[in-house]
Amino acid sequence: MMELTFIEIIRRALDEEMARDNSIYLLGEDVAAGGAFGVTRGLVDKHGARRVRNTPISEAAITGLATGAALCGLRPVLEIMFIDFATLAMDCLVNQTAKYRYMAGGQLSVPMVVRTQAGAAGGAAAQHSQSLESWFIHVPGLVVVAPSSPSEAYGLLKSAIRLDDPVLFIEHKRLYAMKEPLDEQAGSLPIGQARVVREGHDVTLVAYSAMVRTALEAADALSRDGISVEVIDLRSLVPLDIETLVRSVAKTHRAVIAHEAVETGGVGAEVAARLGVAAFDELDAPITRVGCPFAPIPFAPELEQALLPGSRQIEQAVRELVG
Amino acid sequence: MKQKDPIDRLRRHLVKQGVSDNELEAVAARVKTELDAVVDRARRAPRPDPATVLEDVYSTAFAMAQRA
Repeated sequence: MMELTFIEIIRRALDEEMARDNSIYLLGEDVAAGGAFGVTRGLVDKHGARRVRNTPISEAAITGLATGAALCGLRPVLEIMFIDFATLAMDCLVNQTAKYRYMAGGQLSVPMVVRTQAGAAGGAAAQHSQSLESWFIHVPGLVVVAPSSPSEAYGLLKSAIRLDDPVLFIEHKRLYAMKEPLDEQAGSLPIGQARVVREGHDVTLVAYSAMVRTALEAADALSRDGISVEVIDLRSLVPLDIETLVRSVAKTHRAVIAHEAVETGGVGAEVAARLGVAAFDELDAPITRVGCPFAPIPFAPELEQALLPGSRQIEQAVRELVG
Repeated sequence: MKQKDPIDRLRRHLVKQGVSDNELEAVAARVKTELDAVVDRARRAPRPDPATVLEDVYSTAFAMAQRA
């Protein structure tokens, strides 16, 4: 099996989907040259400049253009270089893209994927490091996917492209260099089904995106002390697969939710509220969260490290629950 | 204010381009008939069923997957 980085695997999924369906095209700032991270590099040579289109530096314009194209029958995959810049596309995404199907009584579809890159790594600082997913899960009509590894990204991106709904596809920059073998038989993965990444019986540890790796590190460390942690990757935040979490908590009776976004108003709050109702009788301890303190991501590497929640914080949260 | 109304400006522009008043009035009349019919149809339509309030937020296949 061939080992591919997250970036290479995204490129491969795009390439294969474009070869399969002529209505799929890419647009974004510098995508013909590969974009800021080189994800789309080379695709213009294979699929032509009509299908790999550079745009002006205007997230609002890119998103509006893609929404219109999707309404007219194309399947655009656009790139917003940093999720921090999705703020500039918010009016279109929230008031147009997410609403068209509903306001047209189901007569229109907006089959488009907004690929964007998020999270903190390497001192990208306060305006290029944020985890803003919770803003988008608040909007009915949008699907929000946040893959945790290259092979997951491959299957989930294929499904996202094939879906007749607008999808925000969040790629964590810390995962870009991660390598994984790609099974030649790999296909699309279902959106809306969480995945049990590691089985355990003492605590359910819920994560998504890059935090799944951190959760697995914490689970490894805890297992050396005889604490058995079940790690679940949410895969998609909308829809949220609460059933898989309830099944796990019925076994472990404890849950920790870990994400890089600030805790306040985050995905962890949503998961905790839903689990608190759906699994109330199963819980032996409060549901706890691990997330960023309520502060911007700093530039200085030692400050960035100090702020970001890591496996140590997760270990501590788990130990407090089983202690 | 009226001078800057884009509808009036377009009308003046079209007249300058050689479109006749008759043609413009015919278009206006046709649009009015069409709109009157649409409004009338909407008024006579049954009120929506509250049971449908969650429909058309997502594509059907996806809504089914969500329920599953």
